[in-house]
Amino acid sequence: MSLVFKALSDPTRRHVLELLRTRPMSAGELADHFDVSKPTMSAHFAVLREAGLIASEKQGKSVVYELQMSVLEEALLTFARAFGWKLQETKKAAYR
Amino acid sequence: MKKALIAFSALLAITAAADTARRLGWIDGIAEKRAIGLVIGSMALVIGNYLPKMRPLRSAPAERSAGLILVATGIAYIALFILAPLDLARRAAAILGVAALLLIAVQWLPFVRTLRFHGSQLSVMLLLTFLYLFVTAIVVYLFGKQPWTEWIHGAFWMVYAFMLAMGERRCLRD
Repeated sequence: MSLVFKALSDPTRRHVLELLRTRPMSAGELADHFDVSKPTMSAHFAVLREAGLIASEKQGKSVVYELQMSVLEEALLTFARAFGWKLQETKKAAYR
Repeated sequence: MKKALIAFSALLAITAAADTARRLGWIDGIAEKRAIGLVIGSMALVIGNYLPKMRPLRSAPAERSAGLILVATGIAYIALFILAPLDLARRAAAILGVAALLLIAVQWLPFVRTLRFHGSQLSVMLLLTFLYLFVTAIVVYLFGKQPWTEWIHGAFWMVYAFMLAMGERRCLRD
């Protein structure tokens, strides 16, 4: 369970999970949504895979990722997203 | 998957323990019935929670909504068998169970032909065992223990054998 919490603690990884909620996507498609290097994205994918939140399948030359979250993990993602936003807003307000 | 299997086995063990406790006179029939209702609810909760990970179909939305329906049903069962009078709990549980199964059946009907067995035979068996226990509980809640309910056992084992045979065939083909 700690692996799941670790995976959900990062906003980029949460965003990846949100994107995969709509449909399975290739690593390239997912990386296009973020302004980070490929090795960093690969590390994020590895954390998500290790936590069992996503599954990967090789299709030709690309790796396709799809969501593999239990109902409880989806609920945790929803909570994490809500609290994440709140924390970010609180931080912004504190900086102001 | 292992977690789901362990949780499911533990719940089966609790059912057996409740039955033994009643036979030994440690608990009365009402407590046993409440315990079994709680176990069925917990099973729905566990199976529903892990359903999107089991991937019995190749459709994430159908698996996710079925998971949610089962989790909600499980929570309702647990609340009913803890809080409501037993007669009301059994009747409401039967209605809820039928509604949940119908909702899932409607969503899964288009995917029945794509049932995946290869590599996930254990999850199919777990699902079937849950389905059998769930349907049996609903029938007993609706009609009480009748001699004809024994037919459900026969029908279940026939479906079970058919599914296993289909699984073997697919594995051979793969």
